[in-house]
Amino acid sequence: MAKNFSTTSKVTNEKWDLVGALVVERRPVIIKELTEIEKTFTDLLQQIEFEKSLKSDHEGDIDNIDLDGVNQQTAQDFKDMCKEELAKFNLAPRITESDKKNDLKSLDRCLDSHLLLLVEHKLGGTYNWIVPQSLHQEGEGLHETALRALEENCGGDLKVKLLGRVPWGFYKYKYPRDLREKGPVGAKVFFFKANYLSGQVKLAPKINKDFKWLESSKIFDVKPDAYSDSVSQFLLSCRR
Amino acid sequence: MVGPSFLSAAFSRISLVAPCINSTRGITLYSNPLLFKTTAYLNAEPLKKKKRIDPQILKQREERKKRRLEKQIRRLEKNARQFKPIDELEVPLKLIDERELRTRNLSPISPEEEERRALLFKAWARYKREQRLEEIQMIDRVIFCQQKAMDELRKESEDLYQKAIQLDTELIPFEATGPMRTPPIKAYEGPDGEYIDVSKKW
Repeated sequence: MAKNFSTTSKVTNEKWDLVGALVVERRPVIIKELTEIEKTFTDLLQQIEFEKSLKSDHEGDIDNIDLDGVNQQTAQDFKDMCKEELAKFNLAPRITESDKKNDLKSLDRCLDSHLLLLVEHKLGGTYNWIVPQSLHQEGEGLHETALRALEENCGGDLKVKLLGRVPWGFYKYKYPRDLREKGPVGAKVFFFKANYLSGQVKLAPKINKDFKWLESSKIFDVKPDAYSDSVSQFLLSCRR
Repeated sequence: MVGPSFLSAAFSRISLVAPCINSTRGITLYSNPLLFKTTAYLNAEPLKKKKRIDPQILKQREERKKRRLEKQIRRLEKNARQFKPIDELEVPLKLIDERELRTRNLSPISPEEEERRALLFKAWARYKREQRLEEIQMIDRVIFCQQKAMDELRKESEDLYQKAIQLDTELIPFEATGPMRTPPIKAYEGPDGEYIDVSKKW
């Protein structure tokens, strides 16, 4: 019985740094293009619907629209008018200017997929592409660390909605040997997830070199593989 | 002899001389002029004698009351059985009358077309099944990943783990607007239109 209730953590003599990291996702603005089978099946359903239907007032010469007897308008006229109005209406393009320029800093890009915020952050001596992260400080919850990490790296203008206080993913790495002897062995990174709401990235200098909004399907371009794997584990797409 | 001025100094709120009334009573407790006052109200009055009513009339009255109530109940019961008509569920008479006129004269589907459709339906079923399986696997993967993170967190610090599993009230109620079919047009102003409420009152 006592075993079931034991919740105390295992005592180890290795000391690890705790790190909170925030994966900020811009959700897709538009739906994906239909696949081949989706297109053909939609067409079939519409055809069946058409075959089963009865003629409407506008079809054939069943009924002419008669507005007060003054404005005599046939069904064909009405149809032509509607078509003309539709042709005049310009939809916003699916492929934006930023897509054409491949502007990775713009949010107005890849409207049909998730975008992730990555920063080129200084870790030790080198710069690496990672999601914003920060060391845990005494007294705060890890989710607060993650939110603080975003503010410290990308400025306070960026508004996000944190999706729960529970970490979504985990990754750990060891520090170089000479560092390990002095203090902590490495860092345990806990990933939190948030939805992008509004605002622009204002990168903090010195610790960061660059930032980009990356499609979630391209997360595997981020090295090392183990890192992008752990991030992709809790995203919609993952390495096949 | 102590004059009135002394008194008025001692009791500043007592006026010694009522302005409009020449009275022998020198002292009053009111500062405003003493005028006519009506009696406020009567606290009691003699009871009225009870009227005797003919028991016949009383009976009649009660009868009338009863009948009126019964009538109301009957009317309510009659109306209760009538529901609000749902227009969408009723086929308009116009359509029933014009059925012949409105049917489409389409040529029957060829066997090849029928075969194509049947195959397409099967392919669609397979496609949806695969999609569903992928979705389930994805959810499993995410949950497993989260569980692993939670376990690792608990190993590091029980305190942080307890903080993490606290209820996040900011998430409730959760709202999300899904992806649209077309991207929003920048600086687009919707055309003005009139709002006409055509719903019937019942």
